[in-house]
Amino acid sequence: MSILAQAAATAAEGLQKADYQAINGATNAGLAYGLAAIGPGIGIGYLVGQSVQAMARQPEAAGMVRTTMFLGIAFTEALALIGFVVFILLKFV
Amino acid sequence: MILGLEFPPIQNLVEWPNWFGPEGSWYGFNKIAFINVVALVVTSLLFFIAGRSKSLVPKGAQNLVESSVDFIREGIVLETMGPEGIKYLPYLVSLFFFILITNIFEVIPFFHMPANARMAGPAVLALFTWAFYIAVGLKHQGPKYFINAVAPSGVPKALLPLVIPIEFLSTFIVRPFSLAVRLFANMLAGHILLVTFSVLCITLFTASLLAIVLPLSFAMLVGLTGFEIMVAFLQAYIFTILAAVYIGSSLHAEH
Amino acid sequence: MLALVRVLAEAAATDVQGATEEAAKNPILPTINEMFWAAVVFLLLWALMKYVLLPPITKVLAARADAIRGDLQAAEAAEAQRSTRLADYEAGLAGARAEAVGIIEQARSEGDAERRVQISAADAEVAALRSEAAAEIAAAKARARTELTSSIADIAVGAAEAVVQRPIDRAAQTALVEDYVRRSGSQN
Repeated sequence: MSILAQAAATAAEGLQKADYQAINGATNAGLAYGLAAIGPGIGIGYLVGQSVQAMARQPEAAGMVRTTMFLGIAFTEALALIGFVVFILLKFV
Repeated sequence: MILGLEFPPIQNLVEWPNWFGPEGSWYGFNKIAFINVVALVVTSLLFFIAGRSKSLVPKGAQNLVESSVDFIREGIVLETMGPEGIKYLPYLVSLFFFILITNIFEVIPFFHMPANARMAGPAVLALFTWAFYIAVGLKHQGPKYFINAVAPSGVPKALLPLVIPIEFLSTFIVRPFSLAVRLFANMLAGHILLVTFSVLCITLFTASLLAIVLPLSFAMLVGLTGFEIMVAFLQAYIFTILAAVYIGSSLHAEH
Repeated sequence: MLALVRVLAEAAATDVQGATEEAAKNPILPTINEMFWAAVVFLLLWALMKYVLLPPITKVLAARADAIRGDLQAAEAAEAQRSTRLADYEAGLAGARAEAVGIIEQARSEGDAERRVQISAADAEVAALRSEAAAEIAAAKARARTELTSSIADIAVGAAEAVVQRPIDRAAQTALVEDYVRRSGSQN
């Protein structure tokens, strides 16, 4: 990432130290959130798909499956949300 | 930047000046505190109106409140804790309504700010829930609660040095932290998303050729508003059901 | 995650030192005044919910659940009563039907016997009538035959006398005629 930052820096003359930090922060933030979203994306997709299958196979258990599905989504989603918080930290702090 | 797109700094989006009380003081009353108070007043009014009419066929506020309470009792308490969890219903109902109403201010005109996009509200609620389930565990299992919580029965003794720190971390540190961060980050993300599309709409409201993108941007804004209403409800539900699950796990030693 | 933990730890440290200016700049850290108000409002809401707001709602819900349960039980009782009444009715109906079938059977057998008696009586009557008629016919036939015999004999004798101009032995002619009549009668 520092290579990108340097390239950007050579492209624009007269950058200050704070600008370097901002550039680094922005690129890292984008990368961090993008990476953090991969796992939970796959996880939630798999989870909901399996839940739909379970509900289709046993419609009488749909209520229980739905509750558990929301719990699972909540736990899986937490990782993506921590990635989002890291994004905010890197980008804005 | 091509358009002269000016995205406001995030401090301007989420931090509000005090209405009274000096900045940084412990009692400074700002928009977030006002939204919390409004949530209290609205919830109290709804329940007050619903409690006064005792008609057999509910409608209006009575229907709303009764179906919500019934939903929390049937869908959350009985599903996760069983009949012995009914006595924690007031706490869970307060959690649900408080979070729901403070969230829904994300899309209410002239407010457009979810109170839970500030860490304070979620942190307080998560701390209360943390204290609540520890208290329930102590009440139901005595001091053995801490042993039961960190060392589940059935784990081989050799693994205990590994299991105890992990269980301690996950039960007493990660639970409240993830509760708070989940709610906070969801609402902050939704808020930033709505702000992004609003800023985009305002910027595109020009005479240039780019204005043809404006309808798409506006449609996205409208769609996201609906989505955020759903998220507000879903986050209230998830916070409540997780609190119920944690309280339920404190009722009995894990097997 | 580590960065987050570090920032949180730093913020906590600065909070402890009382240097809130730096922490207030961080958009994701809780501020003390908002935490205070959230705590106050939520505790108030919880207390209100527990002692004032929720009990009437749960009471109404419980009353409604009781009413529904009572109604269901009443409906079940009515259903049971209905089904026993239906069973009674059906039992009565089956008895009546059996009785009716018995009556019909009895009537049919009685009718059959009666008819058989009637038919045999009628048959006997018919047979009596027929034998009487046959006897009458036989008598009439015999009478007619004797009348016919005598008249034919007379006519034949008279005609023969007229032809031969002398008396004819009546007895012999009568025997002849009788023989003819018998033959012609047997041809009839």
